[in-house]
Amino acid sequence: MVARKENETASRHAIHCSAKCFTLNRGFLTDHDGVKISTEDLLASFGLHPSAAEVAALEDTRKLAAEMAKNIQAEFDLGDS
Amino acid sequence: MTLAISENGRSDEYDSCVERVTRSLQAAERLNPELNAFVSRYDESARVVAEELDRAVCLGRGLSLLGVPVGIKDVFETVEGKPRAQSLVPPAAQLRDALAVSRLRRAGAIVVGKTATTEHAAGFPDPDKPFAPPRNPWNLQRWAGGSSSGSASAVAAGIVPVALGSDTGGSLRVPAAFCGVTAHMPSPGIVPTDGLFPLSPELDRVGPLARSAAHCAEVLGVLGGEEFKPMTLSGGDLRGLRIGVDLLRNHTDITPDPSFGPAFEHLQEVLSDCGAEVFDVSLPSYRTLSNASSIIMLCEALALHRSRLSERWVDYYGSTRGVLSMGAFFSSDELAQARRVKVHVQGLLDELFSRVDAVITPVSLVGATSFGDLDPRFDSLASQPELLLPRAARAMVEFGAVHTRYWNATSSPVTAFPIGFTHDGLPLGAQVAAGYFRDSVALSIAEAFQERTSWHNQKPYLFA
Repeated sequence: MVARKENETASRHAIHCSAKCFTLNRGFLTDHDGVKISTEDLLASFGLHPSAAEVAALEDTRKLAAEMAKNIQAEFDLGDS
Repeated sequence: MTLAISENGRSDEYDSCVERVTRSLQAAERLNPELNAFVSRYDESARVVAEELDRAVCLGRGLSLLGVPVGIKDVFETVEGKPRAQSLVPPAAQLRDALAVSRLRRAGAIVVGKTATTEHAAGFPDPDKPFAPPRNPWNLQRWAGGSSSGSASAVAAGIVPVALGSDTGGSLRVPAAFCGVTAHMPSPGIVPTDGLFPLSPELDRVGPLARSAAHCAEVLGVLGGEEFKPMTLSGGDLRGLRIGVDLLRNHTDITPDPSFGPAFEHLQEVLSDCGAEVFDVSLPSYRTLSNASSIIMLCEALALHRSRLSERWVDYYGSTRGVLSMGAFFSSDELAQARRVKVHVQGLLDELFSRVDAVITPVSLVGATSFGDLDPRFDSLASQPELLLPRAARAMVEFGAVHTRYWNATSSPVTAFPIGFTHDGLPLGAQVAAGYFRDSVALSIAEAFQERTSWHNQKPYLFA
């Protein structure tokens, strides 16, 4: 009984965290496609304000992210539904 | 030899809980100044608990992990102290035990301290921050791996026989491979994550590190709680098991260590000798699922840290900033696609697991990374910190020599175990994955290999 209660608590916690993250991501990513706005502005929209040197360095990271996103889209076109 | 009899493999005498804890604390006192495996030690409370347990033994109370000293990764809540996650921006946490920790305690384990991690289980050691880097007992100039760095280092050095860790992209398996110990990432849902400060709630898993698969199985029996049936391992007999092997040769630009090929061949020979049918397979959509796994992790990690990262940007490690920022570069459509890919590939993997009982892949093709390779500032070489941001992020998601992210996006349990040494004396590791809730299969295969080899019992000469 104790174990079941613990498991239920753990499950609720996990679902809560996951749902919270997904909601946040939907909310703050929807307006940005990761390509059309500058890296500085994109990060600023998340409240992140790296130095100019850091922003320049993160351009490389953004390219890597774009490659990853392209890869998961290219192999599986799972449609809109 | 069970953990409760003797963590040091002696069955001819009984060690009291006080003796065990004293030995562990003395080892920590002697070795930790060089290793930095522990960030906090709970010497006094550990001794008090050991005395209480010794009295309980006199009353005939039997506990499966009686008197076993354990280290807890510094991302879990414990009653002795809140987790700091190796960060100047520690997580919001309570002074209570995480569920996994409380289960270890109820089984008689004694918490001797918190073990080092990477900042918030992401990023890499940073020489600019006031946290000593966790070192590898096999070579102090090498990293212990991450993010359950101190847990693996402490087990390898013999400070504790068991440690608790977590795994979101390889954080149990990479340090286990780098330090030459065994780790088990359980099927999702077996071990609760309550009380773990998450990196990615969808992918995080909690599991044990120990010297052997048999010991990991014992600890998993405790971590799984009262409703989780104790596991019976195969005892070295693998007849009837079909084991697929994928060396993932097409998925890395890294040249493997010269010892890697022979070590993997030997592994396959031993498993065949144990009666298993061993043959080559190809994991479905390896690169794609690995990328999907990273995207989910990066988006969730940023979601969790966004507010504090915004307020305290410079207090985070440079490498952590690089990793967390990357979550901003994915759209909600891409996150949704990553989750759909995860479900889709799981279906392909289920089909593979209808033809094989387990799949073996490398954890790493090379030995532990040097600190200088992680960050030139460790070698006192001039370097601009901002240049480390993309490098850290790239390493985090690509990490060409390491092959762990794939499994985090699946429902498979995975056991990582040592299979030999590199040409320059660093441990090499393999991982065996099985179908959902078939943890005993993964652990049995590792156990069978360990019954016929002694890699898992090797101790670093620095600390032997």
